[in-house]
Amino acid sequence: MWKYVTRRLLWMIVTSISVAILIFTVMYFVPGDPAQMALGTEATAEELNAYREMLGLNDSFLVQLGKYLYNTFIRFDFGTSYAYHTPVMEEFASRLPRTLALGWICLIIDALIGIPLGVTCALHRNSIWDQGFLVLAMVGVSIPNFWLALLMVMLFTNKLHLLPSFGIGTWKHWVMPIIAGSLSGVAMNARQTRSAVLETIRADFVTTAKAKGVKAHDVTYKHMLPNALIPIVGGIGQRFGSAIAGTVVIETVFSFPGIGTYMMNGITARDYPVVRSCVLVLALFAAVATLLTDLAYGFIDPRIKAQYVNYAAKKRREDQA
Amino acid sequence: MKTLTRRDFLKTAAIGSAGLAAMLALGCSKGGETSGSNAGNSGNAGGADTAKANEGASGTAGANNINEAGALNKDNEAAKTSDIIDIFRMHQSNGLSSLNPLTIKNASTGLYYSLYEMLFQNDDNMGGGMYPVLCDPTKGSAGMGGYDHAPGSTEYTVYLYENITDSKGNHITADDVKFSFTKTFEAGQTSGWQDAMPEDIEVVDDYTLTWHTKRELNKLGELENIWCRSFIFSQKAYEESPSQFATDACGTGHYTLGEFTVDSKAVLNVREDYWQDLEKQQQIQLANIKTIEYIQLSEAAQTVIALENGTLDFSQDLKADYLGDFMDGGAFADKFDIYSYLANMCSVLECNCDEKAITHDENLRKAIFWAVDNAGICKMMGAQSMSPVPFVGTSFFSDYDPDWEKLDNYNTRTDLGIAKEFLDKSNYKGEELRILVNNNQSSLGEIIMNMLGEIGIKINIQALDRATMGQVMGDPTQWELHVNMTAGDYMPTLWSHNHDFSNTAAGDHSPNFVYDRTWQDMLDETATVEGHTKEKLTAYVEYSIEHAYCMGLYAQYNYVLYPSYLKQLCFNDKLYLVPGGCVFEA
Repeated sequence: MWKYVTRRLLWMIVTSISVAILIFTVMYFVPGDPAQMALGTEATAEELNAYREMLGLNDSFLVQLGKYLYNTFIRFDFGTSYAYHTPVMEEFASRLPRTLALGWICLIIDALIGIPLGVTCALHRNSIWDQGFLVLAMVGVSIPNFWLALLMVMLFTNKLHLLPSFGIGTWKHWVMPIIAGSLSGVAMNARQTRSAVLETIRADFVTTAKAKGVKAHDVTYKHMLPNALIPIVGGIGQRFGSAIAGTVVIETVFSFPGIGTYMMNGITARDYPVVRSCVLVLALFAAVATLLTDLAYGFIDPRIKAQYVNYAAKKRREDQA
Repeated sequence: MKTLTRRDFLKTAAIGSAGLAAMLALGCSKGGETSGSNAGNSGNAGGADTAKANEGASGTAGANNINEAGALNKDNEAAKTSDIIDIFRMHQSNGLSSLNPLTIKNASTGLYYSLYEMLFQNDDNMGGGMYPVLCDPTKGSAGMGGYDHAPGSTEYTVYLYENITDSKGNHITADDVKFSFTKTFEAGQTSGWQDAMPEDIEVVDDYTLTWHTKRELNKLGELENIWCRSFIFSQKAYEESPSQFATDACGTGHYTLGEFTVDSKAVLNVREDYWQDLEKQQQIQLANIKTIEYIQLSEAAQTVIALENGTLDFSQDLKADYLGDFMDGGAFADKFDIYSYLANMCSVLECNCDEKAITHDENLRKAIFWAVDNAGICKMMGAQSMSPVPFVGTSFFSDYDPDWEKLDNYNTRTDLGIAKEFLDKSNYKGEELRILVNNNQSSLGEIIMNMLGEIGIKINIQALDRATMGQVMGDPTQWELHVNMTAGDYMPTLWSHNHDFSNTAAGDHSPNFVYDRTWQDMLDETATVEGHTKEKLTAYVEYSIEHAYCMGLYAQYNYVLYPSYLKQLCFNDKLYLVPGGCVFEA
């Protein structure tokens, strides 16, 4: 199993380098001049050229790419932002924990509320609770989170004066962003769980367990749920990977200085170091999320774990043969 | 090989969870460390309501006319005897990405002006002279004092006050001034200076410097562009700064940086050891507020809510659509006043005049401009917040001539009959013309498309972001029409931003590919002190219209929403509020 993990981690390095080259190339060809953005329309051609020279943008594509890969993967230097004038790593160090915290708290809430809710609805399918939940889930998935955010601000800040509407600071500043960010995830998780559990509810092993006199609670959580978790874990893993980029709307509405707004500002300003670094970090997160999801599959379903292990053993036999 | 058991996995998961919990704690605590006071602490702002009728309704000048406010940058006794308030929270829609004073060229915040100072400051809003701030007005006989210049020479000598210190106690000398300018040059923020860039800055003694320029700076705003656009700071402080002033600050201003969260909040606290005596302070140097908070909120609805519940006190970034609650009859009309003024930025419609472009045809350009109704555009896009302009420029500028509004041309009225006449004379054969608009101006593009459709001109709208727009505009094969925004300090500088030949690499045409040297020469002449006359400005306007090189569309009203206890606004020449210089009644 550790070989499997090690192999995946090594592939992650290859993926990162590939993504870095790809995003560098894309940004290289995207129209827009960072020098023009910085100096304005009245800058002369000489001034623009001098500014580009200062930023290293006059070098050839391969030279710029080589410098970028060397700085990123050998020196772990993501460069200095053109707009913020601070090293990108420093900004990441201050913003990433906030965005990750926001994203992962939302994810945890999605799972802690969504999964039991989905199981309950599946077990009481077609009841009035189930029907009501389906409607609410549809609403929860459909509501744009920025609209919900503004509604909450009007209620909790403007009318009730309970919570602050923007910024970061005390725990109160986190309440509304977390609710706005997690509502749709709760609805999606619950719907997905309900569907998955409904598929297993008629399975033979469930009937057998009931016939053997296993308690209902154990039938549900020890027999049905583990078999239903595969698609649920897949969904959570996908949202885990996009925890950084997915919060940009929430960050904008609540003036929450995170990675999402950092990346958006970088794209608008053609701030190449920021955009490249953000995309690279996003790709890494996605790769880590995929790995953790696959490992979770193995934990949940021993058959999948056996495939991972057997693959290694099979490879070893082939090498010896 | 050891097989991974469930127990191993659970152990790993426990370690991972502990790491996650640590990161969550770090994220929450990082936010707590860097953030300032709780939004619920309204301080003096909430309690200082003054029952007052709202006299600053949109479209009318309130008690704080911008021209009067500009004049208040001089010595002002009322400002010096103002009540002192504890805290003032200002809204920023953006601009808190960096505190670097070297890169304020495209900055959209005025907080630098409370932290740092310049040698001189522009007097009045536009078109005035320079009054000394860091320079000693008792020395030097040029202008309002503080510097010497012999007419015809290429030397400009400034004399500093001898007691200037920054917030860390560093004494500012001529070497620091030279260092500040050198850093400004190196940062590439001197675009627009062009051949006004000094060849050398000579340190004569500790408090005297001489600028040696390539030629006498006799064009409008050239000297102001250098001395009134560069902040001064200590070389020692800059070199000791861990971020080179990007996230920290050390200036000679009356305020010091308390805390700063990028893209979120900046808190400035008054300096008790400010170097200048009260009686010598200019209005923008005053500190009638103890703590100023700049809060970045890009969402307009959030801004309105924050103003209503007292977590913000001031905003000058809101559009008219959001001001209903603060206008006469609104729920918060008694707590706020509104001042509106026509901004110095205006929208311009230009044609590609390159010889290979279809719009090189002057008759076609005239047909287009006569068909576009700028007053109609304003009505459709928001009459309350926009005003048509009779050319490229607004009444905001001191050298604007109201007589231009009486000229009979396509800027002042629209006439489809005349448009069709010119179209018939042109070589237009039904081709589709591409119009470039900013990606938040698609509706403007559609309005123009419909207007031109009335006379049979087909339009393809291309909405681009600013960076892409700049790139596409440089290729004359990629567009025929273009809507641009332009601003400046004087009318000639406003025109120069869009039309000056030096803005292009070749230097022999304007950015919209006009190769008419006469036009450029006329622009150059209006930019000189001697040529800056009403007659020459009008001649340029008429020549531009005669050849249909451009068309003024509209300017927008800016709205300043301020609390009723703020009795007198203080703006700098960039139209940013300098809150410390305002007059308050607690």
